[in-house]
Amino acid sequence: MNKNNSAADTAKKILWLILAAVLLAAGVNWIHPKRIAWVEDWGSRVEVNVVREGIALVQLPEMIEFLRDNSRLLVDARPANEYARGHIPGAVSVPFEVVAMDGVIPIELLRAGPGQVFYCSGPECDDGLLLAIAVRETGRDDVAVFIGGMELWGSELLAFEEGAE
Amino acid sequence: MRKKKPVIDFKKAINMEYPTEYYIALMLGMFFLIVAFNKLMHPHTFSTAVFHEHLVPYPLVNITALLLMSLELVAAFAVVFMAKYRRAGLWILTAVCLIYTGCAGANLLRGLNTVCGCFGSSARAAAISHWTLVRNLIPVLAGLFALR
Repeated sequence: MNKNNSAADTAKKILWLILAAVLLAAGVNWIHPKRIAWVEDWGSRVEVNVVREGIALVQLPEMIEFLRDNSRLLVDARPANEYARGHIPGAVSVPFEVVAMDGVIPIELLRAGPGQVFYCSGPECDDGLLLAIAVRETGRDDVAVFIGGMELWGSELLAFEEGAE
Repeated sequence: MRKKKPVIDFKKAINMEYPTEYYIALMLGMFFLIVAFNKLMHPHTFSTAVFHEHLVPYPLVNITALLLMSLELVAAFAVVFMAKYRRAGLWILTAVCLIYTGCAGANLLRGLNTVCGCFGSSARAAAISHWTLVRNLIPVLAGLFALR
């Protein structure tokens, strides 16, 4: 590279490039057909609460891995009719609405065994997280949440099972 | 009449005094041109990737994403096409890669199992690991080598 460039000159050029980038960002986001809001309410997303609660997040490749090696208990927290319409293969149905109403957590979630991964319909739904919190309160700390849920699972055209348990 | 200097001087852009550094800088610049252009085409995908890092205050996620992708594009353009601004562009690209590496490292340390959307994202992308740090350090080292 040209080593005669002085540090001050480079710093000045860096500032010019940063200024150009700011103008580009403003210009592109102004005319872009898929423009985004400058400020968006990311803080209200369910994923934020998962992180705040200190519950582990599970990504899609890990879910596929868990399905292959059967190393986790997959728990569908959606209502039973949604579960019957289609769910991740091998997942058990524990609707959060029933747990919240009865105040009783099914025994299968309290037994010693593999770690549990909770999911519901998608990133906007918090049934999976709330059920994970409820199970964690019983003393289990190996709970995780698959935040993408059925929405992400379906968008990737992955196999699913139909029917009630 | 005085001849106007072209903004993009292709003759001056090719630096044969330091060919290795030049080609590394060129590769880095071209890589980021493609990556940044793709990010600008799908701004919400990149802002989601920034959100998944959980390191930027939530109201500033979109602004940060827009500035980062524009900065990458401008700096990459300078590295590839503007000889006079190549060094400045390289500093910016190296710093951006260092920021990405720092973010991945911070999330690895706090045990947050998230995806690094630094160079584009996919639903099937694996969560961050030590390999992500190594991968992110490659362009940092390349940038530092070209800058030496």
